[in-house]
Amino acid sequence: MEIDIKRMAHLARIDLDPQDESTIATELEIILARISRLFEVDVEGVPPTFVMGAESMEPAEDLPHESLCRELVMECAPSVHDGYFKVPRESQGV
Amino acid sequence: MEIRGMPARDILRYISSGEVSAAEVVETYLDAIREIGPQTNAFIEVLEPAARADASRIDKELRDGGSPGILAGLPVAIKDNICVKGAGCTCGSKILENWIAPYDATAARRLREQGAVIIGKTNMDEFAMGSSTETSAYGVTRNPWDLSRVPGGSSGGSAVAVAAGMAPLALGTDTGGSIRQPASFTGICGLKPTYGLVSRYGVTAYASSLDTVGPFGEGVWDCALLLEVIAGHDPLDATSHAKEPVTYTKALDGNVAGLRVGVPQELLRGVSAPVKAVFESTLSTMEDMGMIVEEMSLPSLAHAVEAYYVIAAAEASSNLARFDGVRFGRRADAGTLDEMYTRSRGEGFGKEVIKRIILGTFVLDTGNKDRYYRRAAQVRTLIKDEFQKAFERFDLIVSPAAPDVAFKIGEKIQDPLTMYLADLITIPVNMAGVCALSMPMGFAECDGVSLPCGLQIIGKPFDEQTVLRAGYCLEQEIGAGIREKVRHMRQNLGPVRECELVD
Repeated sequence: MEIDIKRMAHLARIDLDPQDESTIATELEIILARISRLFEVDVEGVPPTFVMGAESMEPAEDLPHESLCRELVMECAPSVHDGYFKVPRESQGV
Repeated sequence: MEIRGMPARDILRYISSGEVSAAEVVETYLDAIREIGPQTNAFIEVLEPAARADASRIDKELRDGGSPGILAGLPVAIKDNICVKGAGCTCGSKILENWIAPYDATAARRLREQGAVIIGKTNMDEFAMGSSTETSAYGVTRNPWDLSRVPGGSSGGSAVAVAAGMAPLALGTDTGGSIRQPASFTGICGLKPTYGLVSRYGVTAYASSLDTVGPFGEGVWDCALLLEVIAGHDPLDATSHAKEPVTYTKALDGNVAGLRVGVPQELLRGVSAPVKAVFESTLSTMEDMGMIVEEMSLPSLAHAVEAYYVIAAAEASSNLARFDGVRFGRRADAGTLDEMYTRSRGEGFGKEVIKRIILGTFVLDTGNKDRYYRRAAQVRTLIKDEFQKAFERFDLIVSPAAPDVAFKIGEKIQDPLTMYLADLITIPVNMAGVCALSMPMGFAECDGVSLPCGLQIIGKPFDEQTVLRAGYCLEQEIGAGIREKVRHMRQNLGPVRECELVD
C-alpha cells in the first residue's frame, strides 16, 4: 500500500520540504512492506492489548489535588497575553 | 584515593564515614566530564552549580548528624527526556531547545530524596527514536571503547557517562531496548524494569504503553540500588502498580543452582558469530553454576518488530501532537495558527521523528486502524501470552542483548530497516511488559577491535529480584576480567584526578 505523504503530513501538521518528502516516502515504503508481514499472522479471535497491566490498574480518587501553579506553566509558553496563551489568528483575512 | 571508577557502594561508604566529602566526589566527576565530555558528547547539559550546591548541602547534613538518604552524595546522570526541575529537557530535539522543566519527574524526585546529586542531562536519540544516538539534534555520542563507533541508543549518553567514568550511576528510558542495547555496546549493566514498576510521571512520552525508566551502573549491585530508589507506586502515573517495595540489594546473594533458564532460538537469529561464541561460553558458565539451561521456542517473536513499529509509531504520533508551539517549546514565525503548527513542527522535529509520526498517522488513519494498529495489538497479545506460558516452565529467559557489537557511526543511519531489525532481541521484552537486565558477558572481535557484548536476562513480571540475583552471581564468575578491561579503557581516555582524604 502506498502512503500519501502529503496528506499524512497535513494530518500530522508538519511542514515538509520536498526533498525530505521524497526520502521519507521511499523509506516508509520499505518499512511498510516489512510491516505487511503482520498479515501472515493468524489473529482470529485474539483480543488486542492496547494498554499494559490494565487489569491491575485502579482509578484515581475523584478529588481535587495540587498541581503546577498557573504562573509556572505560563512561564514556559512562547507567548502570553493577560494570563492566556497567545497565538496567531486562525486565518489571515479575519 | 582514586574515586572515579570506584564501585558506587565504596563511594557511598567513604562519604558516609566522612573519609571523602560529597563535594570532593562531585568535583572528581565534574573534572571527568570536562576531560572526557568533549570527546564523547555524552552530556547535553552539565548541572555544575546545582550539583555543587547539592553536594555542600549533603556534606552539611552529614556533619550535623543527619541522614541524607541511601544515595547520599552520589552523582547520577539523567537522560534528557526525564524532567529535572530547573534544568533543560531537550529530549535530543530542537523543538525543546530552550525549554526548562518546571518540575521534577517522580524518578528524579526520588533520587533527590535519597541524597543523589544530579550531575547532568545526557544525550539521546531525538525523543528516544533511534538505536545509536545519531538522531540527536545535539550531535552523536561516541563510544568510549572506540570513538568512531556509536554507543547504542536511545540512552547512549547515559550509558557512556557510566562506562567512561563520568558518573557512577545514570537513568535511562527503554521503549524497545534503549537501556539494554547501549549497556551492551558500552560494557556496563542496564535494567529495563517491568512496565508499571517505575513511575513515568515527568518522562516525555514516546510510546506510553512501552516506555519504562531504568538504571545504568557499572555492576549489577549498582542497578539494584538505583532500582530500589526509583521503584514504587506513584499516584501521578495511572499505570504505576501498588506493589510492596523491595530491597533489591538485599536480594542479590543466594543460590542460583536449579534455576531453569530458557534460550529462545528466535532471539539467536542474526546474531554475529563472535557474539554467539561469547554467549555460548556464558551459557556453559551458567550450567557450571548449577542453572538448568534449555533451548526453547517463542514463535510469535518472529513478528515482534513489525508489531512494535506499528504500535510505537501510532502512540508517538498521538503523544507528540502536544508539540505545537502553543504552550511550550519552539514556535516558528507564522501569520496564521495553522502555519504556526506546521512550521513549528516541521522546523523543530528531525527526520526520524517526522518519519515515525507520519507512519503513526498512517496506521491510525481511517480504514487503516483495524488493518494495522489493531492487528499489531493482537500480535502483542500473542507475544505476551507466549512469555507467560514460557515462564511456567522457566525462571529466566536469556539471549545476547544485541545481535552484534557497536557499529560504526554512519554505518546504519541511511538504512533504517536494518537498524529497526537489529532491535529484534530487545523489543519483545517491551511488548510483553516483562523485565530484563543487560550485563556484560565478554568481548567480541570486530575489525581487529575487541568490543564489549552483553547478556540479556529476562524475568517474570515484577520478578526483578531473580533477574538481578542471577546477574549478580554470574558477575562474580565472569566480572573480574571485564572490570579490568573497563579500567584500561578509561585510562586510555584521559587523566584521572586523585581525591584527597578528608582529615
